[in-house]
Amino acid sequence: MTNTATTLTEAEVRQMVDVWYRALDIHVPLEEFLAMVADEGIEFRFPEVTVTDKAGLTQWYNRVINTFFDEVHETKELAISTAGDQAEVKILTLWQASVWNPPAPKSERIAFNARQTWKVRRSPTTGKPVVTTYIVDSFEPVGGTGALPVKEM
Amino acid sequence: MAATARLTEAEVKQLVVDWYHGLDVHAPTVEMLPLVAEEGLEMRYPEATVRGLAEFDGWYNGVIRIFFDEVHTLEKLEVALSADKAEVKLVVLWEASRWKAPAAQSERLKMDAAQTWEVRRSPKSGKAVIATYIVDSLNPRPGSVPL
Repeated sequence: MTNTATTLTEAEVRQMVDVWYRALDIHVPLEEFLAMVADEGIEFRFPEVTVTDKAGLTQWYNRVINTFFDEVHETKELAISTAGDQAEVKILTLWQASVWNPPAPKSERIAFNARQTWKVRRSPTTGKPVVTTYIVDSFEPVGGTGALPVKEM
Repeated sequence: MAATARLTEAEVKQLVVDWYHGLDVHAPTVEMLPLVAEEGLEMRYPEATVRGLAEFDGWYNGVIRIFFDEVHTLEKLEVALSADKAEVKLVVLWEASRWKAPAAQSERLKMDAAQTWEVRRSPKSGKAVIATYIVDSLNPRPGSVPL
């Protein structure tokens, strides 16, 4: 896709959501992760921090991949509204991950239901869908999970 | 227990149980040190040979920062008592996880370890302690990552 003016399709956005969560699960290199995000005008509201540029997002991503492992994101609900070269995405994802703080004998399995709202548009440079806004609307622990661990970096 | 009393099989078996439980729960070093000989300790692991308490301290505090979710399951235990020591032949199934950030996935190890121990009575505490600990073989089970 190189035509920067064409309308985003639901299929493209759905594919992007799949690729996004797969990337988080397998800890893709930072460059691959950032390529899915708009270069300017971004806002990412995570439960623990809000970032508005790629430097902040880089810090967040590096902290996450150095804190969590064996991650699984499972999309439970997905609603996509497209309008021209933009789309609004409503998602409910079940996120499961493990954390381990040496020398603890046991790792900890955590699980959260995260409701999110994304805004996606077509990148003028690559022609591909990119995330511009990513708001975690709610973040509810599942089972016996406690507070979200936030590791100092 | 007098420091000269003959070791009993029950004492030696309890030492084996306490040792592996300590490894599973990452017991503090101060709880592991009383299980090994104050003098002449030698432990031959596949990756290193440890001599004396200071080296044991360093080895132990290394492994508890590499492995987690450990389970040691004793599969075979033979104790041969003599006047002042016991020779222990055992096979233990060692299961453990490791994770090196920022890897996406942890790794699971499942290994059968055959070991020979020499156990003596500590002249200081009067308790059974490991004097020599040799890993004779370490064989990964199917599906295990290598050590």
